[in-house]
This record gives sequence, structure tokens and C-alpha cells, in this order.
Amino acid sequence: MNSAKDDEIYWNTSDKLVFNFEDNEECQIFGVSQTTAICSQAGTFSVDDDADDYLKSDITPSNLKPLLSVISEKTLTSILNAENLHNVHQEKPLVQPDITLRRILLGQPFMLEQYKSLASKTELLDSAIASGDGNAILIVIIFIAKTLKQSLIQRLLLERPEAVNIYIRYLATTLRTNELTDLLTMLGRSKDAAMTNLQIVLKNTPNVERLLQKLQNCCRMHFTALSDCREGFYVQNYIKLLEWQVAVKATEFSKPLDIHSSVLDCLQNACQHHWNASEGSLVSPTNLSKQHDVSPRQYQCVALTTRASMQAWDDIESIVLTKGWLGSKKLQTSLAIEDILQILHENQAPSSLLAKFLSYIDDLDRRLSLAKKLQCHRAVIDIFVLQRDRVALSEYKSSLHSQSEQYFYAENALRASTVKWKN
Amino acid sequence: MDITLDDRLDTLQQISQRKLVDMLDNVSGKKDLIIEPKLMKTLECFIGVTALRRYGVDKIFKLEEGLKASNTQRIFLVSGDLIACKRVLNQIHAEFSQNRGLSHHLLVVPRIPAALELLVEEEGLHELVKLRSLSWEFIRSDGNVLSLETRMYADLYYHRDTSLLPAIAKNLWSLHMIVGRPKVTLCLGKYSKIVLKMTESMEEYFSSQNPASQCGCMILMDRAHDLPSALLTPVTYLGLMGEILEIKAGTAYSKGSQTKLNPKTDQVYGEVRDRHFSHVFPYLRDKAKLLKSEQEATQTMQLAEMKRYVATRLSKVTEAKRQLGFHIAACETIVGELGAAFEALQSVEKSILECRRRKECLEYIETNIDKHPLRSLRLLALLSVVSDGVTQSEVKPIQTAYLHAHGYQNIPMFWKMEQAGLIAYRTDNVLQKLPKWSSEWATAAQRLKQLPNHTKPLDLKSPTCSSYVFGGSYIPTIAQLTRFILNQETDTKSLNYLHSLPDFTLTGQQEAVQTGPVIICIVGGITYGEIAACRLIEQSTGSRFVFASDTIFTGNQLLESIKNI
Repeated sequence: MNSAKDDEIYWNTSDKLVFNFEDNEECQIFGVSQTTAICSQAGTFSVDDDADDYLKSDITPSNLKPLLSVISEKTLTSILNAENLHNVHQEKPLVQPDITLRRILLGQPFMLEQYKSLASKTELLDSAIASGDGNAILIVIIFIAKTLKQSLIQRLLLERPEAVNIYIRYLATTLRTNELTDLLTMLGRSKDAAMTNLQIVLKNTPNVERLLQKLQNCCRMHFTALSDCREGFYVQNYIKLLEWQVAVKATEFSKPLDIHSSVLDCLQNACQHHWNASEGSLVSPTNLSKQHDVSPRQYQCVALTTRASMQAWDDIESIVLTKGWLGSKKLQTSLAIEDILQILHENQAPSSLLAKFLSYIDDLDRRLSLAKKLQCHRAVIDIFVLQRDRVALSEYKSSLHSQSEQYFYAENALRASTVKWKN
Repeated sequence: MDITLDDRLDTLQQISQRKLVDMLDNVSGKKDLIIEPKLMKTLECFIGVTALRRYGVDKIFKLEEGLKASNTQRIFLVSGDLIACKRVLNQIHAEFSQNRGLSHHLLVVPRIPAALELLVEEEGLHELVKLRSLSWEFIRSDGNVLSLETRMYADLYYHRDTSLLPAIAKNLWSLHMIVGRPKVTLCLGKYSKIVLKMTESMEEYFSSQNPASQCGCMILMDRAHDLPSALLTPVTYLGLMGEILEIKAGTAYSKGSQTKLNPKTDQVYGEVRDRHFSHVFPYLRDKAKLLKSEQEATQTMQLAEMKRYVATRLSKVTEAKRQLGFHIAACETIVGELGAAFEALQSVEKSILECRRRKECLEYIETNIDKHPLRSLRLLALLSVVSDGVTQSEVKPIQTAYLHAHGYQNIPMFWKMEQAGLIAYRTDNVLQKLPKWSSEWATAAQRLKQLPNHTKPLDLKSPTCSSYVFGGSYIPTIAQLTRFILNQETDTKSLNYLHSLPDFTLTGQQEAVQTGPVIICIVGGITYGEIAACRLIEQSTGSRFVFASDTIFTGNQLLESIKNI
């Protein structure tokens, strides 16, 4: 900010010096007292002693002949007119924002060059915003951005959020991240600056190493200052996950993980290849799960599906059962029992395992309907026995393949003398 | 000869064709046409290969890597998407480096974005590439639905960029020229207001003569004024078809087969389109039986009879059979995809609307986010809109689960949803836990009578209330506005409330509405649910409606467009 101000002073001062210097000669020609000229300068900046001396030393020697005795008036006029030609367009150019904007809206040719003064540029921008045509707003901002200095552009945008939004989109699409970040930071929208930068990084980086590096940069530059922004925490986790992927890739020859692999994809990979890794090791599923604070529901779902798909039935219990305090096993899971059974069934789990999990459903009717749906005959038969429903059991037996294992199981159950049938 | 509204709407397609053909004619001689893939389907709606050939198009290409055009004149047809345009310019650069004698034209739909002119200049291609814009007319589908086939929601509500509004305005202007300028205009929302203003200034400068006539009315509404209608699951046949199958520019695609959704050429479709889904399958079954018996009857026909049958009926019956087959297969797909989840989903949506069982709703959202991310995010957005926001602690587990299941590359998603007005955060407030608490949203919806209180169960078979499209729990705002403008709603309290809204305007004499078409336009995308809700009013009042929007979309597509930003 300071340097911008200094620049301003520098430009203003030097401008004035040049102009006044020339003015002086002219003034003198027309016999205007030079002190007045100097005084008029004095109003714009403090009179510097040196400058004063310099101007004094420049006083024209008195032995000059009168100008018009040397050259004709015509010559003088020509010379002066040539000078004035440069200044003709100092009169106010014709600016009509409404007409310009209508031309933009209707797709007719238009010119913006005549909008020179700050006031006319401002008016044009405001009219564009009032017209509601985003295309017109962007045309005007781009024109303004080319023809005004940074601090003035920012001042204009500060009070015009409609214009800012459209300009930001343009800067983001054309990947002008520095300008974008400066603008948003200046407006006090540091979270937007962080998220937009992140968005640009995520959209435009197909390579893992580069992505890792850019995310680290982004985190340092934008997210560290945002203390209560959840996304910053996720970005850090993303970095950890990418590092994990790189490390895993270095240690094994299995199919490499895609750059867009999610935590659950990686977890599945870990459950498949590193199920028995010690808990503290980098590649172990529990470690990965802890690192990202994966919810028990998601962890169990992935672990169960992966181990079941590998027919590793012995591992199933350890995922969803815990030992109760009398040594009995208890179902402890965030998954619905229906979902567990569905996963097991889809992977052709042995019926004894299905039966075991079915027995965790307390409601017998619900258990029965699920057992039937999953075609877990043993469980169905057991339930009929529990319900002492001989009729239903006989009916069910007749629906089974005779001479099959289940058929005999049903027959044995019907023969059992310990059951007191209710019908 | 009487000119009907249908005849007038039919002209849209012809005008679009003329517009394109005139452009092609401007480039004399043979040329290649290179089309951005997403514009293909839209283009097919109004022009075919034969017509293109007639105007000198030699080869047609899809815009993609490594395409090899052969003619020296090349016309690229692209949408105003700056990145797609940049790709074209890269391609042109590459072609120039091999062959200097080429001539390139860039035809941009619907408008040339400001940044593109600058880009062309920066790329040193100014004058080498000729830029033209082409804004074709509304694409008509399903009888009376007009769409620009351009999704603007993300532009308008995420980027807050109104560059495409003139495209809607221009199409509305030409629609007015064709069917008549509305006598009464109802406008709700800031973007609608802008569109209306633009349409008026086009009227002023383009219309050398008055349009066909002055008749009917127009309703303009911003999408943001009714987000629930875009987030709830519609339960009509077409509504669910839109959720599950792909529908593009009026054609539905299902497992390799496709059918044009047009009630005029497909009677069965016209019959089931707006039915509650539970009443669709029985109808199709009866229809199938009927067709079968007709076919059986042919077996006993005499020769002469058979001849007549083949000449007059056979092709119709064959087509009807194909169409019926499509709808039955579509029903099966819908049931297969949604079946088991449907009831639970409906009950969660209902609970959210009634601001009940908040904890269960949040749980449902979280447990479904792994397998049905869009469905879950949609419900979260609904919850946020309906209950004036969600708390950080409610969102956190959902966001975490979402990122774990679908990848950290989606980290900006929730922030984007927030920017796009789909999630709002609020602090936890004890008052909101009181049983009598009602959200600001619910209060407003009640004032417009959008939350019907059915004393008896809704008749879903022959419904009388527009809320049937959402299982009886919600009436879309646009339907209420339509009832209002057609003088169907006379409750002064609701009317006063409408007039008190800051961005509501009503111009013209309402008595004049009764004749002429009703143009219903939603800026930011219209949904099948809303269309069906309004069609019920169309039937009961005998008016003719024309629906217009930038796109016809579903809640999933809305969220997808936010995700793909």
C-alpha cells in the first residue's frame, strides 16, 4: 500500500514539474509574472528551496529581442496551433453509458475508448451493473482493469460485489491466481481466496507429486491463517493420504492406486493386502482408519465387504463382534444387521455363518423373513423349532429338495422328542 | 385456416434452422462442421444431415482430441464455455502451423462471451478466426415445454454471473413475437426482473412491428424462490423417469433403446406422463392386454380383412407396441433402482418438510452418502432450506463421510453448495427445539398455502391438488403463482403477502388473462414436478400453458452441476 502511495506522489510530482517548466516559458512570453506561475505550483506541493533556485536561475536573460520582431505572427500562430492540436480532445468526449450498454446487449458494435475520466468509467460500470447483463459487466471491468491503476480498480470493486463476483470467475477461469488472491484478500474474503485457490489446484493438477506439493503450498499460504475452517483440516488429511499412497506404492507391486482414490478405496486396499499388518504400521487398516478418523460404520462396511469378498470368513467376527464380559460374543456394530447379512449373502458366505448372524436378531418374525429371503434353510428350520410350529416346518420341508442336507436337517428336527409342538 | 398455438410453437424449430443455415450460407463453398459434443443432441432437434449438406457442409466432426478436418473452411460450433473455446483456439493454432491457407469460423452459442473476444486477441488470432454468435430458439419438447438446453443454475447462483440472462430474454422476446405479447406479467425474483427488463428493451429496438397480438400472460420466477421443488423427489411417471433415466432434449434413453417423449405421437405416454407412479403400471398392463387381443384377432381374419388391417393399422400397432415396450421397461428400471429405498426416501422428505425427526433425517443422510451421494446431498440441502439452515456440528459427520467415500478432491463441494445457496449455516438455538417453532421458510410457505393439510388421504389416481406431485406434502410456488394469475386463488391474505414481497411485480389488467396462452418461465431451471403440478391447473382451467426455462432438470442434476464447477 505504502509503495503504491509513493508511486502516486512520484508520478504527480514529476508530472507537475514537467508541465510547469514549459508553462513558465509560455507565461513569460505573454508577459505574465513568473511568480504567479510559481505560486500556482505552490498550491500543489510544498515549494522546495532547490527547485526555487533552479527556476530562478532559469530566468531569461534580458538581452533577448522581442519575439515578434524575429518571427512573424503567422509563424508563431502556426507553431502554437500545432501545439494546441494535441489538446483538442480535452473537451469532454461524448459518453452515453445507456446507449453503449444497449449496444452490448443487442450485440451491436461498440467503443469504450471514449470513457476516459474516472467519473465516466465509474458511471459506465454502474450502468452495466444496473443492466444486469453479466457479459456487459465483464466487458467494462476488463476495460477498466486495462485503463486504471490497481489501487483505483480495487477502490471501484470494493463497493460493487456484483462486479467482483463476475471478475473473480474470469480470473479463476483464466488461472490468474495472483490477481485473484490479491483481490479477495483485499476484500477481506480470505476463506473464499483459500477455497478458490484450492479449487484451481484440484482441477488442474493431474500428477500426484505436483498435487502434493501444491496442496502443501496452498495449506501454508491460505489455510493456516483460517483457524476454524474445516476444509483446511481436510486438506491436511488429503496430504497425508497422498503421502500414504506414495509410501504404499514404493513397498508393493500390486495395482497402483488412482490419484483420485478415496480414503475408503485406500482402506479397501489395506484390508485386502495388509489385513494382518501390525496395528502401528503405516499400511495397516486400523492405522489408516485412525489417521482419517473414519467412522465405525464406514470402517466396518469396507472391512466386512473386502474380507467377505476374499472369503476370509474367520475375520468377519472380529470386525463386528466384541467379547462381552462373560466371554460371550456380542454384536457391536454401527451397521444394520440386514446390511451385514446382505454383504455376507452377496459373497456366498457359508450358511452356518449366516445362521449365526441371523441369531443376533431378537425379533423372531424379522429373523424368519430375512432367513427366508437369504435362503438360509438351517436358520429357518431352527426358527420354526423355536416357535414350536410343526405345521410350518413340515410345509417348509416339502419345499426343500428331498435327500438334500437341509431336508434331513428338517426331518431330524421334526422327529426330535424334546420339542413340545404347539400344533 | 385457424392457426393454433401448436402451429406457432412449431415455427421455433424452423426459425432455429434458418438461423443456422444463414450462418452456413455466409461461408460459401464446402466446409467442415466441428461440433462440441454437448451441443449435438440439441442440434439434432432442429436440423438434420441432409439440410446441413445442402448448405455446403461436407464433413461433420465431434470436437475432440486429434480430429482431422479436411476442408480448408472449418466452422466450429461451440458453447460459450471459455475452456472449450480455448481448446478450439489451440486446435486452430496447431492447424495453422501445418497449413496457412485455412479459414476458421467460430460459431458461439448462444452469445460470444466478453472474455472470448479478448482471448482471441491475446492468442494473436484476431481477424484470422471469425467470431459469430448463434442464439437458436427455445428447443421444444414434450408438447409445450421449451428449453434452452443450457443449465444456468451454477452460473446464476454460484458464480453470480448473469452473462447468459440475455439469451433467455432474447428467446422470450421472439416467443412473444410468435405467440403474442402478454397482457399481464407477473415477476418474482431479481433475475426474473432483469430478464423482463431486457425483453422489454429488445421489444423496443428489434420489433419493427407489433408482435402477432397481445394475449395471455407470463409468469417469471427465479429458481431461488422455490428450491424445495427442485430438491424433492417428484412421484409422477415423468418425474421419476427423469430421476432414473437419461432424458435429453425430449428423448428418453433406457438400456440401449430410446423414445421421443411426445404425447402427440405416443398416446400411452400422454396418458401416463403425469400420473402418480403407483397408477402407471396397471394402466400399461391393461394396454398390453388390449394390444395382445388385437393381435390375436388378426389370426382369424379373412384375406381381405387382413389386407385392410396391414394397410391401415399394422404400422400404428407396431409403433404402439414399441412405445409400450419402452414404458414398461422404463417402469421396471425405475422400480429396480428406487424400489426398496423409495418409501424410506419419501418419508424422510416428508419429515424434513414438516420439520420433524431431525436426528433421524440426518442419520439417513449420513448412512446413504456412500452409495447415493447426490441423493443425500440433495436431502441435506432440502433440510437446510426448509429449516433456515443447518449447524456446523450437524454437517461435519456428513461432510467427513462424503469425503472419505468419494475422495478429498471434493473438499470444495460443501463450500460450493454454501455459495450456491444450498446450504446455510446457523448457530444452534434452543428456541428451534420447541415443538411450536416454525422456520421462516415454513411461515412463508404457509402464507402461500404451499403446505396442504389434508384432512383425508389424497386421491392419487385422479388428483385435484397440485401437491400430488410430491406425494401430497408440498405445492410448488410456480403452481401457486399460476393459480393466482388465473384468479383461482382469491384469498386476500395470500395476495397481500405476495404483493409485499420485495422483488414481486405485477403489471397489466388481470381480467384480461382468461384468453391466450400462459407462459410460465423459471430462470435457473424448471423441474418435471413443477410442470406436472401446473398441468393439473391447465386441465382444470382449460387454459393453454407454455413452459419455458434454461433447462429442465432434476435435483441430482442440480447438485451435479455444482459438483462439476
